[in-house]
Amino acid sequence: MIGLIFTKEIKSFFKSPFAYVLAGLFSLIIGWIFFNLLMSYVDNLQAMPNGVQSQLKFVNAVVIKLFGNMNFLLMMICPAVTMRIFAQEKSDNTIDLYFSAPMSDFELVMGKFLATIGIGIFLLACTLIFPLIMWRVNIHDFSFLTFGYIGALLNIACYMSVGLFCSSLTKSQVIASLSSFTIIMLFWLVSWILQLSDNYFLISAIEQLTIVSHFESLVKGFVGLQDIVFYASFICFFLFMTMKSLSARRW
Amino acid sequence: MDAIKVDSVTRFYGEHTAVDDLSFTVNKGHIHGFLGPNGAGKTTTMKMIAGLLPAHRGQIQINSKPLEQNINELKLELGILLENPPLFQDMEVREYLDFVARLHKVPKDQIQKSVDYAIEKLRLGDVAQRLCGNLSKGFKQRVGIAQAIVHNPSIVILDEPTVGLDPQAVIEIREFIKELKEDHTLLLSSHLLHEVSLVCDEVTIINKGKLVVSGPVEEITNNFNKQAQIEVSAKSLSDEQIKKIENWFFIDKVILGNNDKEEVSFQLSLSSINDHRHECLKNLMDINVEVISYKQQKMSLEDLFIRMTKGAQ
Repeated sequence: MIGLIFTKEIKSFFKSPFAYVLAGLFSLIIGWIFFNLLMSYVDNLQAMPNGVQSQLKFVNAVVIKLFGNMNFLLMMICPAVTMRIFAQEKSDNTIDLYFSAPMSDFELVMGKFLATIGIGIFLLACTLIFPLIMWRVNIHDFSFLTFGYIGALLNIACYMSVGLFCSSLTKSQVIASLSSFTIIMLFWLVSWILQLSDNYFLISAIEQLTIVSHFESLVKGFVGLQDIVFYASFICFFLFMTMKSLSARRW
Repeated sequence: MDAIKVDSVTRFYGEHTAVDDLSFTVNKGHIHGFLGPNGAGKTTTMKMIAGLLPAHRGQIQINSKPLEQNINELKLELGILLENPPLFQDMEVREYLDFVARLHKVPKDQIQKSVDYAIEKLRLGDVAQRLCGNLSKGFKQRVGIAQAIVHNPSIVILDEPTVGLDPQAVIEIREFIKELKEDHTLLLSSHLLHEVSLVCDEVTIINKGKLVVSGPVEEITNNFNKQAQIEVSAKSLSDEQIKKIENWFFIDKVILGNNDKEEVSFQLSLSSINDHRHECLKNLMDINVEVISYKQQKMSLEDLFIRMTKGAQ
């Protein structure tokens, strides 16, 4: 049943021109950012003496910044992907089709969630030209890039789970996208508090709650248990809330 | 045998009681009309029967099995079309019916057959490759009914299937509903009472969430007609005779109509459930009312509905 919902959602996404507009915009913006980062790296490299040029420099100057920007773009794109998932089904009454079928809310939510992840992978796949360009300019260490993509995918999973939850609350796609964007932004803005306080325990606690800090450590290749726990619990929490929101019809 | 048994079911929306201690049964192989004014609780009841909403009190049985305990198994026995057909605008009709069949766990080797059955039954062959979003309202409604029967359920629930359709489409849908009776039990709600009287064998009327009456259409109308209005024309009718008539236990009231020199007409409203029409005529003769004509006013389902729901208000 999960596979059936997944296939239906993926087909529905790719039937719509929205998919190609979204992918085109994302590719254009992230491509432009990558181009600028690469050019500025090359300029800096040429200005440096030969001995201090290193691979690590490239990671700091291009890879980390690229994924930082990509993360910010995904924060805006994911709510646009998820806004229709439940909201449109509610406004078109097609949600009753699922509720009258012999399937659980878990199957419905998981089918839709995995479909959004599939869409996220498609968006990330649009950027796979970057490793090819890097290969051409003789940068052969893709370990940081791999960690970057894993981090971006986990972030997509987080944003999509928030988006699904918000979409399950309303019939309006606009409200769904704005509310999910707000929640995602809140998790991002929390990291700013870190700069305002010098309380070590508060900083440590808040740091564990921000997506950015976990994403940064992933991109840098430092994967800790706390990162895995954070991503898993964040996604599970919002998927659980989505299921609860759908079951509210029974109240 | 009961296909659907609704037993003392109550459903609240916050403080509001949408369905209040409602009980009725739908017999297997029948078309059961479900009537009530707007906001009477019809859709809520239908959603509860389809397993979309739980009852807060009472029990619903489908094919003699409690719905709550066997919900996933019994959902396979039910096909539902609520007021707006649940169509995916970007899917072709055949693709959509295929998806609904898979949702209802139709075995893979039977999906094609099931989709063909629904397309043939609702005569959708010409639009099978068209997008649902591009269909006319009449065709959308047909696809809505097709999705309700594609998994071959024993019970089909249709909520206002003819609402908003042109007369030609209404006639077509009526024919489809009659044809469905061969293979399915139908629970059908409609505002078009004439429509219901043409296709339904049984009827349940509810008002403000409460049962007004339930049973075979003929039985209900006959029972009601026994206690209905009798139009009488007589040569004359004195005040003394009127008082005598009003004292008969089965008379509710006497309504005087036209009164000229040669003929007086009046209506007798019979209140008793038993049939007192013959006794009434005999008594009129006994008190020397010279009866010219004596005619019972037959009630249509529409009159019955209006009178019953008005009475309940």
